[in-house]
Amino acid sequence: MSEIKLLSSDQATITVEKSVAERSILIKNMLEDVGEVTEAIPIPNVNENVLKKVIEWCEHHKGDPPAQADDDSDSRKKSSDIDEWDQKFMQVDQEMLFEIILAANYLDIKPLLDVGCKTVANMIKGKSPEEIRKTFNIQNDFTPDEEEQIRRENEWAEESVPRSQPLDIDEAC
Amino acid sequence: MSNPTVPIPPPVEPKPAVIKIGNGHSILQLPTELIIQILGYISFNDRPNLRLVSKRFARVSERFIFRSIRLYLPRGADIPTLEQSIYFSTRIFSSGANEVRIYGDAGETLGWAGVSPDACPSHKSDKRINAVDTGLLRNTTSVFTSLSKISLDFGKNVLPHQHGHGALALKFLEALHADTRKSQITSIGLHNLPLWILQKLSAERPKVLNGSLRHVKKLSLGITPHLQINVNDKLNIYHNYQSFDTTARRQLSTAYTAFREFLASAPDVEDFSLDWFSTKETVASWKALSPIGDTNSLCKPAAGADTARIMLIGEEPERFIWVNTKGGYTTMWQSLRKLKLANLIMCPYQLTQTVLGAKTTLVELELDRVYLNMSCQYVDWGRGVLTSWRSAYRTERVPFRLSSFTARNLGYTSYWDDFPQNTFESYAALMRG
Repeated sequence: MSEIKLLSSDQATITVEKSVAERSILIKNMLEDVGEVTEAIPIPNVNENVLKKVIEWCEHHKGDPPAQADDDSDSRKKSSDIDEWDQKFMQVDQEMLFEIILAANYLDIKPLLDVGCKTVANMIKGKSPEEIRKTFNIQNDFTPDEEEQIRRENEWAEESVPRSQPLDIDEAC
Repeated sequence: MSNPTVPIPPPVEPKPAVIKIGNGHSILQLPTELIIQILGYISFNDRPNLRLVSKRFARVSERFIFRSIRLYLPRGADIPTLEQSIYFSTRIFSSGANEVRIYGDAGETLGWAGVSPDACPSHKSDKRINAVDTGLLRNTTSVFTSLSKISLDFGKNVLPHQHGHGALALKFLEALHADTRKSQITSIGLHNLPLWILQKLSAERPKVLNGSLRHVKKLSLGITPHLQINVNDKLNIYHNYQSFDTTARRQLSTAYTAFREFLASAPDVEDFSLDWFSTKETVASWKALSPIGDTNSLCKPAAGADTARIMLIGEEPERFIWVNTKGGYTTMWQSLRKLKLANLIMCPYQLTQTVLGAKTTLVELELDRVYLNMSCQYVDWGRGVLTSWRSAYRTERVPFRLSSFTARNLGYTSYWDDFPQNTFESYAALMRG
């Protein structure tokens, strides 16, 4: 079993199975370019804790088929469509969640990036603007007039909508 | 008693702190393309709220104009052409498209950009893409002159009040116009085109349209029906059959007029594709406005009704049943036959219920290209279609001349957990006979 070493931004060396690390397209391409490496590969944008978490995800998903990079746009799944294991994996504080997303983006691990983005999207869905601000500690930087203007523009959409039927059925078709 | 000469300072409201996450990453500090990706998972109905969260959210959530952009290069496109196209793609990527794809003349994918304007990793081996990756994107003047056809999939959530969107869409089409006069574009597809943009195009930019579409032989139009209705009827009309009121009907009437005007500006169109028939109400109203049997009225600007080709996409089978009971199908098929239909786009259910209800119809129509929408709930019907076709071919020795078969949305399974995994294989086996 071939192993490689990764060097996190805080100088921690982590040994990982090569096939696991190659879930990262960035690392995979790097290994293809440089061939066999004995030194640790620097991952300057990811600290040890986050890197370990990302590796945990990669280990669990190492047998998954590779992501379909040119998948049709309609294959965008519903945001609730997150594997149960991934849901538990993503039950972390926001700090770690955003770090994972950034790491997945940097390391080019599209499925992990998708899971992260879907998790955040699920945290947003169904919430009022105030609740969204509260969830993410976002400051309301609108003036009352600006806010009122947007509310007026949104009026058409703010009546209650019967939700008994799927609202986004066209997405699938 | 306070001294009136001393101004009382206004109370200072404590500002809520933006919590720094980890190395300073809050959701608002994520790169824009990641926020776009996150918001992309949020349904249209939740997006109005996003605009109220903060200015950054508002800016980002209003960036969804084009869902996808597909550019087709003429045969023998060289590296500079491809570079131009990708450069162009990255520029318009900022309009919020989820994907930009560049196709060769034969339909092969040459380039691709997902939520970040990078070449698709799976195409890294393509030297042409590598050339682009290494920074050769320079000095493009116009990409349109290098294209053979263009397909724009608008974001269906583009709303009239988002003036920036309309302006950008118009700017895009004006640029298209400027270039199409000297370009080779013969095919334009505008999909999920919000009604209000179509109206704007027809009403405010007749010269643009006349110029842009003059040499276009193939025009594909797709209005976003539920958006068009949603905007005027508070979201629920599309999903509430009973409440299809006069406002919505008036909108359909307007849309019909806009369609006519749009087509009138494309005098050479021979191949017209219309993605419209999404709801029973739409069909009913369309019939009321211009009976579906009178498709000539749609095709008049073309070289002649006999040479016109119409594609219909039906997405909502249960709604189409209603039309069926009114005899809508018969009229529709009669008119299609009259038009010497050569291409057909429909969902399998409708094929099962109509064409295959009388197998000979399929033969009479002499289809040579079929495009099936296999998404979500149409799986079993799709299988039925193919089985029937095969049966007709084997037992009746009909001149079955299907030369092209396209199935889309096969991968979209999230509606049904029990979506058969072998669907595609079974389709393929059926087609092989």
